[in-house]
Amino acid sequence: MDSPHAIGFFVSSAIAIGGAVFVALLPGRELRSAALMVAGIGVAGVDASLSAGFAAAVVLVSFAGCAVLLARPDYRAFNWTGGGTWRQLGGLGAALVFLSLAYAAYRGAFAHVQFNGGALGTAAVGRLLLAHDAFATEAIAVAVVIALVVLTLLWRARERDR
Amino acid sequence: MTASLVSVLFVAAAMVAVGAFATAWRRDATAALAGIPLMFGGAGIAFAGVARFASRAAAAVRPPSTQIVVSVSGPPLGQEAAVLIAIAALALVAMGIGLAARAARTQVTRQESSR
Repeated sequence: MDSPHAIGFFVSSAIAIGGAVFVALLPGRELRSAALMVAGIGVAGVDASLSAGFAAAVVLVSFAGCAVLLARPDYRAFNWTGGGTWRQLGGLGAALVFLSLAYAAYRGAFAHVQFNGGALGTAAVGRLLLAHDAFATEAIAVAVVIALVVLTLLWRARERDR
Repeated sequence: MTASLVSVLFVAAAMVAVGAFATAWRRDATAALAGIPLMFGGAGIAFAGVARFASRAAAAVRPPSTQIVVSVSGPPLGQEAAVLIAIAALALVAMGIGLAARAARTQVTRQESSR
């Protein structure tokens, strides 16, 4: 990886992790959604610096969609956790997840290859999605349809209640 | 200055951990859903990094001379996985928001009927 790509990678990583931390800690749905959008820009930048331009575009659209959904004005809070102990245990578990993953990455003996793809990789990814792994693509498409149907049904039920 | 696969996996681990922390720390279920795209984004970074740095290298060992053959990368399977994961994250958040709104309405109805 040359220096411009490396600089882009590290800057994007800082933006992504900073945005993610703000998503976890900021109060208010508007601020949280804005932080999620910033994290999405960072993740897309990391993907773009890894020569995965098409994945970066999809990630950006996905994060934008999630941010819009989470910033909806008809937001209604629903408490799902029990006490503070479970939340603290969850935070501790997240730290342990980071430590174990970072240790695995540090100790891993990885072989490197010469990357021969382009900056975007659209054609290669398209061939994989639509020809080589068409079944996986169709499975994700079915999951998206199910999610949209559930969302529509619940929205219609809410409108009926009004 | 250069970035290696280890750097990429560190960033991916941090994203997954912060996403898990956001999900566990938030009391509100809808706010906790914001951790899902973070975790999935971290996994996508790891997939894209492996596709960029290390695809097919582990299998390219020549037995007689035990010389590691540094070959070119194969199809970008990791990029494909990153694309599918990003779409799945959006679908999951959409479905989760619908279900959380439904649960919140049920909770309010129960509270009103118990009064």
